[in-house]
Amino acid sequence: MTFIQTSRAMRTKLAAALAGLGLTLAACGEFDAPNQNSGTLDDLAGSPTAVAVNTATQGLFGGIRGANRTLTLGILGREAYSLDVSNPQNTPQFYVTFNQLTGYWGYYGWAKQGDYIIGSLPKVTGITAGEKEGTIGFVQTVKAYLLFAIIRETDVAGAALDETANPLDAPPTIATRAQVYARILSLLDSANTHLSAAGAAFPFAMTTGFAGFSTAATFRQFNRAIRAKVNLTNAQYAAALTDLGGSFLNVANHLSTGAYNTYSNNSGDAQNGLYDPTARQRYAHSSFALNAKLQAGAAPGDTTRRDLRFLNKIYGITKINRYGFTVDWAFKRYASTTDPIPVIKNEDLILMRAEANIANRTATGDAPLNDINLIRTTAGGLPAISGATWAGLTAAQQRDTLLYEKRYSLMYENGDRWVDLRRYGILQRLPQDRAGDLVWPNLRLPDNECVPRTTKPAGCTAQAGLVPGQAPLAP
Amino acid sequence: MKRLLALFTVVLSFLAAGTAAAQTRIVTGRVLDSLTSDPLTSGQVTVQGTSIAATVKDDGTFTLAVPNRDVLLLIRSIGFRRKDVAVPAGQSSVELSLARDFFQLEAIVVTGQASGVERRNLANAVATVSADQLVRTSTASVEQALQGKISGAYINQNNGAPGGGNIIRMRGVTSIIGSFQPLYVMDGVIVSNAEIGRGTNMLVRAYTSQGLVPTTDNQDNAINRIADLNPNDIENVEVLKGAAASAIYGSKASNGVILITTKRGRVGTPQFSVTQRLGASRISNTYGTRCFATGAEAFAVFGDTTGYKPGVCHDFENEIYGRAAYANETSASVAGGSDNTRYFSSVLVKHDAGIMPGTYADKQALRLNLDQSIGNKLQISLGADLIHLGNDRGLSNNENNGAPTQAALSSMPSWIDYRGVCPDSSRVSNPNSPCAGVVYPYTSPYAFSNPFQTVALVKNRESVWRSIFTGRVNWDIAKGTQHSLRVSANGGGDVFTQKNQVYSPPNVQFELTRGVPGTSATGFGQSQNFNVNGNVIYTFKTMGGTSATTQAGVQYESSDLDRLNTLANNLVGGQLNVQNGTVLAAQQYRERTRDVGFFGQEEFLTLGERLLLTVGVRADRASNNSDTDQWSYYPKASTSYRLPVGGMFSELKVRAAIGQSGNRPSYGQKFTNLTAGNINGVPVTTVSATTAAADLRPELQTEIETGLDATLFKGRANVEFTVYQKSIKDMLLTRTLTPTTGFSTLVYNGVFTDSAGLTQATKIQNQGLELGVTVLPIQTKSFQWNVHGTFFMNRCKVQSVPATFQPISFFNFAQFGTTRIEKDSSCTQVWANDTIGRLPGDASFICPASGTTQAIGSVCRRKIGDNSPEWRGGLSTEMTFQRLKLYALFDHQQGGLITNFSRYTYDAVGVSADQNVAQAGELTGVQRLAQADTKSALNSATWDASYTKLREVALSYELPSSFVKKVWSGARYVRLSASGRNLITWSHYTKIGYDPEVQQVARSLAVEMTWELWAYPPSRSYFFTVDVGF
Repeated sequence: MTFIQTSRAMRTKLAAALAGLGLTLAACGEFDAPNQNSGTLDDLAGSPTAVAVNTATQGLFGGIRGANRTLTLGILGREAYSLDVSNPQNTPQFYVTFNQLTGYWGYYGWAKQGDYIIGSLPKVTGITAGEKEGTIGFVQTVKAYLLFAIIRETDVAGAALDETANPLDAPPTIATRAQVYARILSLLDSANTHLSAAGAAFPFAMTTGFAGFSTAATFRQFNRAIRAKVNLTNAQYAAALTDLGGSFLNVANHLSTGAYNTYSNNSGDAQNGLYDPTARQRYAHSSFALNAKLQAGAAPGDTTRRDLRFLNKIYGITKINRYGFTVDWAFKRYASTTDPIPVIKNEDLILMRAEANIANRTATGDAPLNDINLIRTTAGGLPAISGATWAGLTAAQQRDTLLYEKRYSLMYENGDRWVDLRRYGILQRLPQDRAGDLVWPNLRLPDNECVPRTTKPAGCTAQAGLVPGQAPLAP
Repeated sequence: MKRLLALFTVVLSFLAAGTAAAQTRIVTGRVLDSLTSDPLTSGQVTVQGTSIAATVKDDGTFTLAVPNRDVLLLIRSIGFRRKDVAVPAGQSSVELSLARDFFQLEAIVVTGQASGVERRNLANAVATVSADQLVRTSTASVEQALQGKISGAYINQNNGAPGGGNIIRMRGVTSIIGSFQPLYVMDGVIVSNAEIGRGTNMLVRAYTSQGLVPTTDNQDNAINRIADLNPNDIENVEVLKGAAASAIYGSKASNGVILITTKRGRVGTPQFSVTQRLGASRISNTYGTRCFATGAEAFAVFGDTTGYKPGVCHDFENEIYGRAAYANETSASVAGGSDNTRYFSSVLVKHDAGIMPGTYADKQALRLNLDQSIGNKLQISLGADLIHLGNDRGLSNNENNGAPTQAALSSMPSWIDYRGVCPDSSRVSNPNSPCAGVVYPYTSPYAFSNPFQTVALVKNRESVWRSIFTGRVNWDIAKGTQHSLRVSANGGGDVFTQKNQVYSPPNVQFELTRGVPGTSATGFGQSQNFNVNGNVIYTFKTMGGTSATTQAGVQYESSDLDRLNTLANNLVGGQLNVQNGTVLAAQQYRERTRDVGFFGQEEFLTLGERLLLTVGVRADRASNNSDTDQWSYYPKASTSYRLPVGGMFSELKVRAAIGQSGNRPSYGQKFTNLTAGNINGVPVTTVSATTAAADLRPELQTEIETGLDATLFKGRANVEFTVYQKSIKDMLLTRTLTPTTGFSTLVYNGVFTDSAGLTQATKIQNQGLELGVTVLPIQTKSFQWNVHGTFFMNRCKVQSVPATFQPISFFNFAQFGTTRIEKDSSCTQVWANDTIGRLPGDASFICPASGTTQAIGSVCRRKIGDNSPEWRGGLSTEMTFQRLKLYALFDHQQGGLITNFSRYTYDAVGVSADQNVAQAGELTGVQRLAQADTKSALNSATWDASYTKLREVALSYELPSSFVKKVWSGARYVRLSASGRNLITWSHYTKIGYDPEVQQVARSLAVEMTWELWAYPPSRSYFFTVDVGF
């Protein structure tokens, strides 16, 4: 179609009108829309500033906090129930079908953030070489801790050692349990080396929960404490004892001294989700009440003078029936939305030393008993065990005595009960609440890790559940 | 707006010169309705072959100065068939009647940005709903008024709460994670249908996080903002269903386009009309309560029988929702104008109370439309709306703390009276008006809120102020017999603020569960949308009647959203203002998008207006794409041919159309965030677990549709039949990455590499057919009867998908339902990792996925939801007997699958009304629960979603005009009517749930909508209406 027959005036008007439209559009401004709501990965992975790197490093405390699995492991180890009235569908999985690691497998995201941080260090100015060593040591320690948190749960299912370089790369090989433990130890040792070369101060800030580990030297004590726990969990008792020597274990210090995940009511922070003041959803296993020993000097049957640890962490509630469970106890272990949750504490280390000494049999005589009695009397208000009584116990009885102390001292913290009983092969001795319930020996790799793989690693297949309630553990 | 004014100035500076005077004579005339012989109230009269024109006044008369020779007048009036009338040189007056155009064959349907064709030539299946079809009864929103009236539009009302909230899916599902609602264009301006969360999530914790961030959520039961519009202002609604028709709207058009045209003034004396409605709503279905005949029964359920008395049974639903909720609506309009200036103005004041105490929806709206002709070449049309909405929707839908009323009801023992206790020990009978000093019995440990207290104390308020302004300048540069050239500029804005206040005082029972009692959450948001388009339209007509219309244009759109949410917990003194909280959190969320597009179109009408050929293309750029400089092209082509037929056919047309359109990524999908936060005051950043492909771009839809339209039996019947196929590629999808990549989710366009190393794309395809039949069995002066039926079906199938594609999870837990994109399966299927029962049971139960009986405790993957029905249909009938009119609309859905988690919980707790005594032909609650144990957990929770509803019914009577005039000479008409909405629902599903339509807990994705969970109860509504015109 052409305008041959149109008049000159018409063409002029048309041109003017189109010009008007053009001007209108030209006035419309910039045609771009950068991220309006947050920074982007480029701020860290591109040309980062010192502040950006340090803030992202501080972000890894979120990774440590995210590794807290009090509730899930507490349910598996029959410490806790989560009977959420809003989510009845969630309950059966812990006892019947749930045996994959959901949720915390996100570890690799934090590891990836650690990679970005270490990758950014050569590019960044304003952080000294010594400080960079400190950052590397910190990042590697955190990565090791997080990988340890994974293998504690997956156990024989294994885990990937490294995250991929790019999101669309083929998923990495799943390493065996032994390989994962080896990697954790090497990461911790590499971190230790970097920390040794670091300046006194870190370039980044510590959260209040890590206030006692704010220098490279003190953070190495945390590094060793974690290494001790790794070795203990892997039944390397002699190595654990060595590591404990470099840790912050100190019988003169308060038992609660240690590293904590902290929570606050600050906007943009997280609250302690285990705080359940009206006992709406989370309950304590009734076996805690059944098995709690009485304090020194208590009259037989005087339940008001149970183990102090029980009395301080658990309270009675009106009995309820829900989903086939009968519950009458709830936790007061966490008393506010801002209560910290331990990462590792002095009490833990002392009990680890006792455990390693019992298992390793390198110490003779009173070494484990002193540690056990310290905890019993200080934390539990229980009578000390005499040397003669202790000497009369079989190895298994000594172990069970130690497990009692760990159970009440580390109750509702890091799921040590479930991990410990697995290591000793006695998960079947956990109580059974409902006919048909099972106990999982481990959590298999999650579906989102398994489904995209054409060749499924062995860890994608579940281990058979164990039938609990056999030969219940003596108090 | 400044830009728009600049444009006006440019255009105004080219005011056309006046036309030269010539020898003329005056012709007067009168135009009547051929059926009733009543005068028409509007219309246009033109002299053929000239540009001389006049309008028909409201008394049916017209006056025209015509040349002193024989002339041929062309008379048109909307809703009537046009007519040519010869007026010889000696004749000075003329009376004629026009036949009704029942099927709107001559109505102009918009096919370009600024042009249209008559429906009889239309090459697409464009549905049109006119004003009188739209508001037969009171309606909360435009989409609600469209339910059952458009073939191909799948419209569901998600929730019974007052104020609307509907989802429209046009011709099935076209996107999985992208936008899935149609684009709304009002008088040429794109208007927002945003759905901004209310903040109720901060009370109900449907989305849980330990993070102290005021999160709104797509489960907030928010209102999609198209509900703001005043349906009474709408002249007609045109629905472009897919890419074949909507390609000209480019990268936002793949879900269809809904074009809304508002009423405008007509030449004549001012005409006032006033409508007053009074109405009432009542709960339409209940869950019921289990009564406990013996203490042993009660003990078995609750493990406690404190206060149990045999024979005491409280029907909590009735005690809370049992009252009638009243509604009133006053609307008025005035329209009129002279030849040069025409106006329409309206006002609406509307209040709907909800059946849940304390809930309501208010709307006030004011509109002014103005049309000004300047000379005979320039016309300016302006429109402005000012709308205020206020509502309270109570607490409903998903939760994680037992706060919503419905959630609490599922676990309360019926022998306890939970109504508020007054100081004089009497009980509060009306939860709307509790006495002073009321105390609410504590529901723990059974439930974690007392719903009587919740409805009395919790506020979930919203206030929206919205202004939509539209402007159009039409300049006829040249208007000749052969050539005409026109410039049309269209622009406007849509600005609204949305304020939300969610508040529960510290003494509300569910507040105690978090240890920081008292919640006050505020949200304040501002949305600004502007768009402008300019078009040049050139029409060339040959003497033979062939015409070619060429148009080209450009469009620019900007959209900005800024939303600030604050949360205060632990309220000191229970005060509402957020500074009274000791725990405070804030969050700001912003969006900014820019789009620009160019388009061109050629329409060619020939062979005596029998053959229409159209081709067009649009090019779009969007700031939401990864590459903001990238252009996407959307071509279209269509043709229609009116067959020269006789016999039973009055008209027979075949048509075919093909087109492409896009669906651009949503704001923010292209970024990998580095999210800021703090740990106990130490600032931290976190790399987001979601990352995006570097080439994120719009989805591309190709639609081909073909059909047949026929008018039969001397205009007594009309049939429209359409089949279509929509193929969508470059699907926007989230890909679940293996977490060992360091990320959990990739947003991408569905392209993947298969095992053979070949690149393949994720594709879905919709195929469907639509049939619309209108029959006019009786058309006499005193009795008219018409029947309109629609039947439409759509099959959405996933054509290709990565073999290792992972489902999109809704509740994070696969056992609760996961959208599953699976080759050769329905696009909307929802699968669950169901659990084979815990106790040894029915060995005959076969897991559908594996086809075998499975071990106890093993996972049985099965389909538990699908919101793609097999077919839908609507049937409306209208009978007019003299002054009496009866109208009814039935709406039917066949098929679809939904899962009811409310009933699942009632059964699990043991409080279903039919727990032990079955309804006829049904299982008892105990049996349903047993199936969960002996078959699989969700075996008896999944139900067919078929239903039939009496959607609308109205009976109206127009008073005799002699009587009306006697009372008031100025009155034109007085009409009385009684009407109802959703009066009857026939559905098997209502045996266990509220309503198969009221089911969704989330509305963010097209495919996530097949659960009923703690829905706001649906209601049936009755209205009495008086319409007065003067």
